[in-house]
Amino acid sequence: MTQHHPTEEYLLHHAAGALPEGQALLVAAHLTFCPECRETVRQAEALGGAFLEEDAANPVDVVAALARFPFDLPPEAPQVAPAAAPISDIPLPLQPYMGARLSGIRWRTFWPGMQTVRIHTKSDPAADVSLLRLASGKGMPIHTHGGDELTIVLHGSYTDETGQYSVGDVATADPTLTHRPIADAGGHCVCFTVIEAPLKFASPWARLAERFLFR
Amino acid sequence: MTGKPITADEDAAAVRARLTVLLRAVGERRDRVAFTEIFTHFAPRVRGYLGRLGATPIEAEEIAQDVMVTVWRRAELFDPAQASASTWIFTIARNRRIDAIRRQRRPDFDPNDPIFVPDPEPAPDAALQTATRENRLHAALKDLSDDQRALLQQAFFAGKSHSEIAAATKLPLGTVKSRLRLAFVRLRKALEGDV
Ligand SMILES: [Zn+2]
Repeated sequence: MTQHHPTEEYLLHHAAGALPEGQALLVAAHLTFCPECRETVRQAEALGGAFLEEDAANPVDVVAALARFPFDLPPEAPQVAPAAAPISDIPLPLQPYMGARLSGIRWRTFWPGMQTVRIHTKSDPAADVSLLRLASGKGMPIHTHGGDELTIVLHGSYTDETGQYSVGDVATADPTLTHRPIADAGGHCVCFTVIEAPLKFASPWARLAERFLFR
Repeated sequence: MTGKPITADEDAAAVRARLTVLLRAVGERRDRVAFTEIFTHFAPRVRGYLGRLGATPIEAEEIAQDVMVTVWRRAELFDPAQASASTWIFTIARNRRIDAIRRQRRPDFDPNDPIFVPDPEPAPDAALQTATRENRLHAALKDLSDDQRALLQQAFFAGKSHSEIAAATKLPLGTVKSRLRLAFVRLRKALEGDV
């Protein structure tokens, strides 16, 4: 069971269809693990349904629209589970962006004990979306953010000033938070991260590394 | 119950129940008469929704037609235990709009995902519960002040961010956030039957 959830604002905007692609991916990944947040999204969708029902009628020539309606199109077959589900450790909504296995990812070393790979979203190529891999016991340099940073753990766990985060948990860091996530003992930790604006690193060496490696 | 006057809410609840029956008829036996009624009810509303989100009249008409075609072809998947007809059609309209803008599918979880964590077992009368909950939601929505309703509509129906709403209403961002939060908490309580 996940312990840390995206804020309600993200869940509601996901239900409204208003999240940018990177954030929508992260929320969809969390919903894979979290029945509780799926319920919140369902409630927000019911609200969307209620507003749809109330919306003052917008004139449509129903007779003409129905006259050219393609009644002959066959039903779309309900989706069925694949016969033998391939082994994967990445939530399905993320797989088009990074494949089905974390072991298949080609990392770039960013900092001792920390590797990263940039994820390119299709609708917004400039969006700051990436995967991070922290070696056991290793941390990211201390950093703050220019904008909200959303992180979901895909493998292992890490701890920072705000608590411990395991698979499926989401951390939301706002620009006022300076934090230092450290991967817990016993294995490496992989996170999927979306940042509204680039990180600001406290150490000049980290800033230098960022300039050469992060982009 | 005899002699009790029918209130506007009860009327609306009856319409909602009827739309659910009609959509089931479309799903179970591709009932064209039932679909005609569904189309007449929802096509103008879907078009209004798309227009509200900035689609041109031509785009709104095209996407609305596409939404209704999807409703016709996928009605078999409609499950009254999960959502009312209007909620189900809202999610299709929302997804189709994103498909049209981004030319790709809206990211969502997949219950067939091998690592999916399933819901607790649904109650045996889930369909009835869903209908009751949604009727309560409509009633609670009517009880909100016009200002609260307008804010909610901007945020969750028109998809505006909190800062966009703050700019448009000239309210401080913190006020927008706290008012929305209060309004949504009230609606959730209504949905959970906790009023
Ligand atoms: Zn959650």
